[in-house]
Amino acid sequence: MIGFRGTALALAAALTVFLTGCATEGPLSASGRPISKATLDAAHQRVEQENIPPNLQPFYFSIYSEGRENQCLYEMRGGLEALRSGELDRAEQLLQRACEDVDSLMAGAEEARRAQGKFTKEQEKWFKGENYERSALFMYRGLIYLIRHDFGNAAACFKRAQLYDITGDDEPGFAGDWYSAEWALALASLKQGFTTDADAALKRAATFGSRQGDVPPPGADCNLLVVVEAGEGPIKYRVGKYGERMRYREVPCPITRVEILQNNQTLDASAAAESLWFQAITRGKRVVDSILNGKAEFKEGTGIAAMGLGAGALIAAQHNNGIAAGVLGGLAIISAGLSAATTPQADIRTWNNLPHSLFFLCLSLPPGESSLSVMGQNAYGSVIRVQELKPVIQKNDPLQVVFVRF
Amino acid sequence: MKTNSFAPRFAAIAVAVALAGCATAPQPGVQYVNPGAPGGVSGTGIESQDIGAAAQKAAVSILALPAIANATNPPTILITPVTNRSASPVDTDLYTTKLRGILMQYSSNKVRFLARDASWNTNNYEQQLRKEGVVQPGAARNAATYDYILTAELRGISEASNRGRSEYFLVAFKLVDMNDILLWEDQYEIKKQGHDSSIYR
Repeated sequence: MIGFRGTALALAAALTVFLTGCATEGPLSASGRPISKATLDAAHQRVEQENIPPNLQPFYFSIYSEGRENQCLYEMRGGLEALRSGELDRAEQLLQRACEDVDSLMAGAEEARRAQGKFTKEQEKWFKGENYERSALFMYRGLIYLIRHDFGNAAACFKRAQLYDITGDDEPGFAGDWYSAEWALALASLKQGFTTDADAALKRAATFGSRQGDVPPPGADCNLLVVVEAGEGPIKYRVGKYGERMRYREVPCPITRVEILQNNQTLDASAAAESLWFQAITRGKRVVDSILNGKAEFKEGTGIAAMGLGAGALIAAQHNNGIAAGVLGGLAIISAGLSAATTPQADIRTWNNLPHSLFFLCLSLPPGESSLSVMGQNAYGSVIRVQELKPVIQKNDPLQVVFVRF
Repeated sequence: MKTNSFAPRFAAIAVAVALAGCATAPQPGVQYVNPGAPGGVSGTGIESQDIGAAAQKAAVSILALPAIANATNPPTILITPVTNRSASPVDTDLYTTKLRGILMQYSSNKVRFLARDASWNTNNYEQQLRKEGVVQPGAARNAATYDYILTAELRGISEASNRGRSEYFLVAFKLVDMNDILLWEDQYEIKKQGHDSSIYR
């Protein structure tokens, strides 16, 4: 009876620890790690000292408190928010750092190696986003270069956005299908006087199946680029018994066409230059899915083994076979422990302030102030959003970029 | 008696293993590294050591040119900003500065460089103040012109697949005189390839 009781108590104690895991109170990082009070206090202090604008404070606070593995995530989110709110220097700084992380093959290599192991969560790897997020990052970085009139680097970024689309696809010979990247590359090329490059980019884009409709090409005389961001980006969620598979959910975008009017006269109208939803769901097979499936199978197998061994241990204890009960109980604990410690959950950290669709409209306006109405239309042609703009065009300014959020 | 001790021991080991999983965040740290060495966060894009090596090669080649080596007076060169036509965004200002720095280092007194980007506005403003008598008259400003323009262009071919990526870069230098005659051209090639950890693919 002592053997049975001892084994049962030991099993219960160990299983309790395994199953409760590292239970903690207080905030967790995006990777699920607990954040200590000291870290939180230091992050608060740093955000205050650096005079971060209020709308960007949550992002900086997370950058400073949620660990290196989440830095790029909050740089992407914060950089986009900064760009939308006109904090160009901060947007550039944040998105540049994110680009460096994403572009580096060595950044977070050790954490990536560990995350492939059965007992480390995928979300403990340094966040670099899925391919559509990486492409979007370089698109936004390129737009900042356009604002700075650094058209060479803008073009480089738009090429890189296409490159990250290619690395996410397993179709042989796939050359990328980010329509907006080719469109923007054409604009950056025109601004440098490289008309052949611009024509080639538009020619490639014309063949893409990702096209959302008619998007007028940029002209060399364009001096105002209106970037319209509409809707919400793809939402990641987990499926599978252990949440080992990542899936996307769409929040349908109400805006399908954007028109710009001046004095009730249409200056330009365009379908979306990009659907990020389309880009997210049309990537090829993910290698990481095989890793997570392997983890899930291991967790399932060791869990079943633990139950079988545990039952055997209890039967042996009831028959006063203490040695057998102890061995089986121990093995059950080890199996249960292995099962509990195996972490097949897919990483669903998301660049969650991306839009559903991007619209690019290029205008050639005279110097001085212009009054423009940006109309967002739904699929039935009804205007459902309106934004008034009053851009001031400087003489000889090669390009001004304005953001509109629908 | 032996049977009673097995289970608690296993339990103790298992509990220790379970608790060990609660890892703490790594401590931050800083270390000095050689700026000419490949970065610890290397990608397949162009990096500082690449442009440094290219500039060094260009400097040696330029100084061996008869028009430079045999010149009675050191010719003056204007270095134009690096043009980027690759798929790798670079800090073109930084690379232009680095290129000029390395050329200065190698060329000693055989060539001179115009640094209008550094001084043009300040010198013109000071000249204006002198004219207005706000400051002492000083020596009259006689802004120099150049004999040659040195251009640097970065071009590239980038290839990628779901297995990795490969990037080829060509840094092309040109020395052109005031009559648009191409005096010298040299090229420096860089090719890099790599792939992300499979957990990112």
